[in-house]
Amino acid sequence: MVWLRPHVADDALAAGPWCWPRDGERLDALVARRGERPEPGVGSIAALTVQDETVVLWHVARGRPGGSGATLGRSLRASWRDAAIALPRALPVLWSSMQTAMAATPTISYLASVRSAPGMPDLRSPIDGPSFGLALTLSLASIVFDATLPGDVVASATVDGSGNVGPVGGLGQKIGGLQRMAPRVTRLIVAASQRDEAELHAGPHLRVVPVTHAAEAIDIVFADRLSQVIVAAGENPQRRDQLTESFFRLAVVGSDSLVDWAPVMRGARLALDRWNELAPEARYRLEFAHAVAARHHDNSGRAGMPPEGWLQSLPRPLRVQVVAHLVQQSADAGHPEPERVEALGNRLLDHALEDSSPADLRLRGALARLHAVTGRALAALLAQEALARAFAAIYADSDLAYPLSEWARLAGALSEPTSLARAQEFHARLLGTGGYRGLGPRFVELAIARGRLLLDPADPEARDLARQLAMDEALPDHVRWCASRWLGAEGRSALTAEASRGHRLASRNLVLADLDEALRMGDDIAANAAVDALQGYDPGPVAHLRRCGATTADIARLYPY
Amino acid sequence: MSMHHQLLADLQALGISADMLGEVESLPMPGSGPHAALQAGAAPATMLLPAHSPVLDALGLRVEIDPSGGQLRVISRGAVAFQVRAGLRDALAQAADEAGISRVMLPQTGRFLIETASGMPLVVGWKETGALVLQAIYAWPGPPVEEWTVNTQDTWMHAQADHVAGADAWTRTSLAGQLARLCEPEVRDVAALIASGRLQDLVSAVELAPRHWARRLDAAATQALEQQAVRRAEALGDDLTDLFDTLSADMAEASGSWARLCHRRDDIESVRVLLREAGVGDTLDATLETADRTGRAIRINLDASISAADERLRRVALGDPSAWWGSTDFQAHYF
Repeated sequence: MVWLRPHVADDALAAGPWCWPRDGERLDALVARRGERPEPGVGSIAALTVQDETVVLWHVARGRPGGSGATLGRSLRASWRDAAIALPRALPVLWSSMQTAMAATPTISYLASVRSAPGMPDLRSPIDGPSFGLALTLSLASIVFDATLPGDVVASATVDGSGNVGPVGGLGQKIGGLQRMAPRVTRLIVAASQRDEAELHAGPHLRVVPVTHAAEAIDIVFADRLSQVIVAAGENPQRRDQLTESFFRLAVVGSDSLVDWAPVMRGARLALDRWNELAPEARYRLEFAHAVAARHHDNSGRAGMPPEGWLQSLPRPLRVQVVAHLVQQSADAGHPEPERVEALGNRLLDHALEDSSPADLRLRGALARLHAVTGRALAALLAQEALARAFAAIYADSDLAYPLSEWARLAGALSEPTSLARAQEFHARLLGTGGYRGLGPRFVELAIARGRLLLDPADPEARDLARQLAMDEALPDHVRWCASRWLGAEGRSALTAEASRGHRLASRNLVLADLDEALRMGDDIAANAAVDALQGYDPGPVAHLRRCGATTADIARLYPY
Repeated sequence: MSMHHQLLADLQALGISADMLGEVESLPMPGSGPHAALQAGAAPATMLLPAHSPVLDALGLRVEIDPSGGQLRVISRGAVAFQVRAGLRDALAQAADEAGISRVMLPQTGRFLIETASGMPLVVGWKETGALVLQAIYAWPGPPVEEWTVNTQDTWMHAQADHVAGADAWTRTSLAGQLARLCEPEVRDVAALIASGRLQDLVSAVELAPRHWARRLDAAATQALEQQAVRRAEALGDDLTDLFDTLSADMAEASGSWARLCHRRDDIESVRVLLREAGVGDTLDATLETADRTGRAIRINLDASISAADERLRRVALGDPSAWWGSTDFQAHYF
């Protein structure tokens, strides 16, 4: 494509650094004429549109009542609303009221344009389309953090209400235009699914940053600034208490809405490291938040037992949730000791299953998970079946997938075909109820596939199901890679490729595939080596299973992921 | 009298004949329809819309215009001096300010003329329904290159001449310079020519004709040609400076961009040779010095997979190994 020279508005140089020359005499001359290069203000970011032959660079700035700027089209307004929904799911804590941040829609004004054919860009039509989604989310995050965005970043991706980042149209053209209009932009955040396309068009000065979720983008963009904000907040005791409460609240109730726990983990860690003179209870709340986030992130949570008397000071429903997290952490990460948390949990479960609240049922589920790796797998199987039926009885559809997955998985692992058939039948029946939808049923399908393949590795229907799951790019990576493991030799090449790209979860499943292969070949040395390697990835479950005398074959069957 | 004839008559009154005009470049203007005024816009109503124009790019100029009103803003890259006449007849020229910006209100005809600071016309523009129209002005006679190449045995040069039929004076002058510089020598008995004392026949008539033509240009024509070349050299220098920021990651596209810059430099080189014949060109030489310093630096650092190696650039490299814009197939010495 042959580009004409870009047009850069005079105001563009005052609005931010994006269109300034990178270096050389031209930069020196500009600095001499206009002073130092401006940095973006809070809420400011550059974003791109493409229409026919024109690529336009826009300035997204914090909206002010009565402010001027472009008229925003319907789709762009929808993106703004999605950004506001996605943001609380992506931020470690909300630093200021979302309502304040959302008070005025952003002001979007023209910075520069470039065309591949003679003509004049249409700058007077409303700006529309979903491709500003990630830029709007980052702008909103900047306002909520009260921290500026770096001037070397542009984002071009959609964001849905859950914070998932999606592809945009005309990306190649946008990148070509961006490089001509904005020499100082050196990082372009795109949807992970468009990584290859973006890298094809990006020149040597532009680094493509692929992300799958808004939280990742926020994490990348605000890395150091987040630390500074957290440290600064620690200076003010009232603010510190508010933030401690926010972290704890996220840890206890946020798991359904939060998709990426890395920022929470880092934020809580920073607070623990940088805030002095924390009271023991406040410190425990932060440690707990950090541990929950770390467990969700990579099974590395390490919250200890709560301080004396603190647990009893919490309302019972909250107490149940905290203990459920501790029990699950014990199962996943091996800490605290199973006996101690189990005792805590059992003390809270002093009523019949059918009288349990959803929170109580989740605590029972966590205990069953712990039983499954501590030598009581059959009890766990029975408990998970009962729990699945109990959740279904109170129409708690969103909680159903977990116990049902465990039921199917353990039925296969324990060679209980009738139990597995019941799980399958239960799953099929739930599909017709309407409330059981989303990713949950897909997780259950994976558990059914692996359960059936444990009973009969050649089961063609189960293999077909595993194949479909492994190839469905809409599914989370851990589901696809686990399905690849259960396909045996057939799934190995996909796992090897992903592992070579540094994906930890793919590497873990490759180790599991090695373990399966070693067991099939009767190679004890290789099987033990694989289990040692597996313990490196997940010390909790492997150590539990080894401690209760599980063989390498038991570990291959009962390993929970 | 039709509007177009009126325009030509007005230009004629300024000493600009129809054959001095380059190709018409029509830039459709958005938002000029009746409903546009009712539409809430991305830009404030007072905002001028930028024109993306190869005619202006080549001269280092930029135009912004209000499609519904009469405001026009002309800006030169690097704050180079120029002036604008809003309207053609009896219009006073308004010089650009120190930042290289001239703001004018257009008359109802929507016509304007952009000139160098010394009054040499560069571009004429006017508004038509739904479009801004621009035409470069080349205030010197286009050389008759087809006549000169009739008898040449250089088939490549023949083909080049065929391509410029009807082209503007800049393109024709550049080709004239190429004839003077890049023609392949005809097969002849050099020893016999020297022995018979016919040294003038060592250079063919095809190569000499452009030089003779240049020597016959009057002062106004050489000044116009040099000013045009200087503007283009400045714009080229700017584009070379931008090159590393703008080069595509796609190597075929990057090679295309590089080749276009090389051709632009060679166009100017061809004109430079003719200006030298006419006894002028110092200003152009000074301007090219900066552009060439950048060009050499870039050529040295150019990715090896970027390739610009067509016949024209091959001849450049053979004729002048120090020319940074020569074919990338040759390991030339740039210093």
